[in-house]
Amino acid sequence: MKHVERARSWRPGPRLVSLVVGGAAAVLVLYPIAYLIQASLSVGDPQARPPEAYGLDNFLGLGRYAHIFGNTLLVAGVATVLAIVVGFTMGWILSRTNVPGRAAFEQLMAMPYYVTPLMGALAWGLIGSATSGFVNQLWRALGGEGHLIDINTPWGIAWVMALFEGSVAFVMIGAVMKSMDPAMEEASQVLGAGRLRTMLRITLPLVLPGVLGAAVFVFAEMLGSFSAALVLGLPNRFYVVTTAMYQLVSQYPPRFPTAAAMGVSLFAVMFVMVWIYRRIVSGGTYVTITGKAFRPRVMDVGRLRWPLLGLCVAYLGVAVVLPVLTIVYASFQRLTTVFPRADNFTLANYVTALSLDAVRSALWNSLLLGLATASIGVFVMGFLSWLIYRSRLPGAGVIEYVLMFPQAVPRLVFAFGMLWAWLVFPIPIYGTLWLLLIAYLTVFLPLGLRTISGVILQIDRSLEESAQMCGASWGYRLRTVTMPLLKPGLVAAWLLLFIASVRELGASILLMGPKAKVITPAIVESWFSTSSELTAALALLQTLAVAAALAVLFAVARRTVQPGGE
Amino acid sequence: MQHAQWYTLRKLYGNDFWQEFAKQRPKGFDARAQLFDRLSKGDDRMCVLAEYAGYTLFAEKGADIEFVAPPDGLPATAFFIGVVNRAPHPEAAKLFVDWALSKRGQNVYQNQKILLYGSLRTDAGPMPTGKRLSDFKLLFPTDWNDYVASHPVFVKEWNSIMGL
Repeated sequence: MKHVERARSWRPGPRLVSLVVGGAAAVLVLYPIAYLIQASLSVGDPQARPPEAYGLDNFLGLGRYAHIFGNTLLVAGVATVLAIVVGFTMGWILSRTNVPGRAAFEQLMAMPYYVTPLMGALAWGLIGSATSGFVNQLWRALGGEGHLIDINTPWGIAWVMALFEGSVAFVMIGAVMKSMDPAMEEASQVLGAGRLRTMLRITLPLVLPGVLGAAVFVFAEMLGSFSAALVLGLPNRFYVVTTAMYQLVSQYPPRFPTAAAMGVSLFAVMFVMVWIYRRIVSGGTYVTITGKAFRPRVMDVGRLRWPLLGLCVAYLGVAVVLPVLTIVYASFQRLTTVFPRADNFTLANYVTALSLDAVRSALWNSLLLGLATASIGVFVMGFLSWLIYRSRLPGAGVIEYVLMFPQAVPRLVFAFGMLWAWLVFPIPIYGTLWLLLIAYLTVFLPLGLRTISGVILQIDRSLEESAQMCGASWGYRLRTVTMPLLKPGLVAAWLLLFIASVRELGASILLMGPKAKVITPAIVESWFSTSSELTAALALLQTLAVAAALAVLFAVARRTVQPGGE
Repeated sequence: MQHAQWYTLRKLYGNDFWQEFAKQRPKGFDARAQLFDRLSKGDDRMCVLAEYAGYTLFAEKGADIEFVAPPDGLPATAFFIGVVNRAPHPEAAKLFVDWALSKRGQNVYQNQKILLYGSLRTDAGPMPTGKRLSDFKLLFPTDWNDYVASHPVFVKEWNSIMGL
């Protein structure tokens, strides 16, 4: 009997793959964090690189900024409460009642996400400033005294944060409500309880764990909020940690160690919040693509559906229509006022905006960066999600933890760490689009992973295992079973990453270079150096350009996921 | 500009001036555009670091604002250009400096809307508002070494005035 020895081709073992992937993830995520911590412990000359001496003085000196930490907790808390109330109310209306047009409203609820928080803050600054705000001008014209609202207060800042950064609360709570068994609500109504009582005594307790998880997550996000506090807080000397960090880093000479200590402190609080959130949502199965899925039935609310419809319309009016109309109105004036004279109207702002090279290059860079972030991100994050949730690699849990780490770091804080880390890197990418690309891919890792893994977890393993049992190789299974099922999720993740990239401010404002301008920080630069009116024109032009790009991309996405559209 | 204002008024009114000023809890902004934006709409009644170029731009737009020059003087600082020691094109750089200091160049600095910086040349003509720099009493830092050395003190005091 002859023994035929076949040459075996070398394939990396699972431990090696785990080590390589884990190592790459650690470098991407933890490298800037390490530099951030190093900067926060620097107690010698603040400008010295590497630090001359290490110590805790920067942290001990944070006591004089206690009011700034207090401000941050206040606006984050109020904004979270507002976002959860709105998210729960709208989630209940759109997923549990028979209000007409629910499907359309659900799509429209995402609109505030497309309008960047910066544009929302600029608009509400024009609407609600104590003296010049449109609402207050109208109030005084009707005989009122003083002002009706003042947007430059913690409550105003929280309001804008909740409107433009709290839409994630609706998404999270809505998802929980949709997957809820309606049998208990129906039983409550059969026993005579009214709709409101059913909502408060049955629906709310059932979704409470999900609402609590959403609240913790949203609170963590609000802690790192930047745009609203930058535009609306400075006029009243109201700083939060992110805007204080920005001021400390922007002044001359920059106070990097103090800013880093603030950032690390905020990061520590967010880390705890995110840990609590993950403890709340961990456990349970997410498999729904089997034969066992149920469809929740909506409650007939009778004549109440019209006031509830009005509530939906009012929310969208306040969150989207009013700010956009305000920006449009301001962009056509020389000096914004709610009662302009005829000679106050002008096209000069648009003429100037269109002539600025910074506008064209910022727009082009943002679209290019969005395409690159989304395309590379989906590929990398899709592979990482599969690796973590499907491959049974040793250490997958550790890799997941490392990759989700940026969720606990406010984006401005992370950008500061990247600034500090990549400034001394041998490859000169600081101030280029490459650094922004690396920053975006890193800070959006949790977003991409969460979206794609949500779809992966919905796919029952039995579908892939059946293919494996029939002899399909790993690659064949991936191509013919997994990818077609994943496609809608991957397309959704692509769009989400594109939008997130274009609207991002916290991660880009510190890393943008003179030849690597992108939209949202360019709007901030305009607001600093020109006027509200020119900034409004600029913001509107850029929003329209991005909306046009999104319309094209949505059309392409729809064709990609339609049956037979391959 | 803030450093020049802090330094010259401190010299004029004493080292406690800015601490007394801080009791009014002034608001600080990142650029003149925000100062004049708020002033022109009535959100603020007065701005103190009121750069003349910013006033000119907003006055031309029809804003109902006045520029008040205190008789004690207006803090001023120079706009610097120079040729660096390893300039890639030193002759072109020197030509640019010559142009910038010439009557023609100074007129550009004085009248271009993105600049609007008054010229010290007596033959430069008036600024767009009709005024000349010689119409104002200007307060310059005279001891440049002392001015530069005061910067760390300025940063600390200015940050505390602004709540940072």
